[in-house]
Amino acid sequence: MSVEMSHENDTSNKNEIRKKIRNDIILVGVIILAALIAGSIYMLTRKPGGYAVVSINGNVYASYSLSEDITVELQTGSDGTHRNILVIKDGKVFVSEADCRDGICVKHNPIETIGDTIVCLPNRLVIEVQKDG
Amino acid sequence: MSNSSNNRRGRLPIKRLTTDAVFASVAMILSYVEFLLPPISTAFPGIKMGLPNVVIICALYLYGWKDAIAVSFVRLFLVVMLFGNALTLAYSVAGATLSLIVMIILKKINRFSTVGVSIAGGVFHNVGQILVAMFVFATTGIAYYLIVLSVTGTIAGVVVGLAAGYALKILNRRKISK
Repeated sequence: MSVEMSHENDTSNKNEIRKKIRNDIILVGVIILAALIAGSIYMLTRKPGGYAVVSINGNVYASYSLSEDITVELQTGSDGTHRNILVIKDGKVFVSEADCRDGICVKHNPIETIGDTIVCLPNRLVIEVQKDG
Repeated sequence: MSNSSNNRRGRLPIKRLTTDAVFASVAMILSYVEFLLPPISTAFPGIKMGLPNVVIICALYLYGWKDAIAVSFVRLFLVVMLFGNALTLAYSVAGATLSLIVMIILKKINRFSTVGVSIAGGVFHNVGQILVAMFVFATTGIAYYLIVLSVTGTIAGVVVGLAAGYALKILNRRKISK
């Protein structure tokens, strides 16, 4: 279609392009608005959680109370040969060390809110803050 | 689009086949370039520019949906074979499939420019990947990532869509699709 555009009369063409750009802007507006609403609902309903629930390979492995500071070495990965070190300090959870290749879980900010997660894709580890253990 | 596809009983004209092949290799290189760039945010892994989508949109507008699917999946399998594993394959296939479906529909209804098509493609790429992540990790706790990813995906989509628009202008002027 776009190939023939240059041969068609210019005014209807310009109108069509203007309409499309207007629709593009509406689309951007709708997405940003939806994100703002969803984001504010998320921010308003967040509560500090009570437990850090650890799942490895999609199965719940253990849960730790956020009220006590601890450091745990987790056997992770699909065959349990990998390693992530989970730390709970001042009611927040973070991963201090990991042998995964990207280290995204280590760089992740400490989490404390219900529903927050730290995910280590290579080692198949998910740490999720929940209300109850 | 279809006038260029059906001469000589469904055989692809050499020019179109060659251009698709070039598209696939450029898309692959763009994936690699993206892989080399430092991550945009470490707190939210998965935020990407989606540079290969520039080429996929070009294929979609120049030759149609079949070529867009072909370019997307050839690129995807090349990238996964070279740099990925089974898990990245699942993420990539889900993201690419959802993104392609949405972009093909939006192109068909003809109400958006390449920018709108690219934004929708980018956002739904993220939706696909989050769905796989929710399945792999058996948790819905990561769904809120989509809020952030939708905003960043929209910004990236504008840039990618503009780039695709300019590229198409040049390709059309050179009568690549003829």
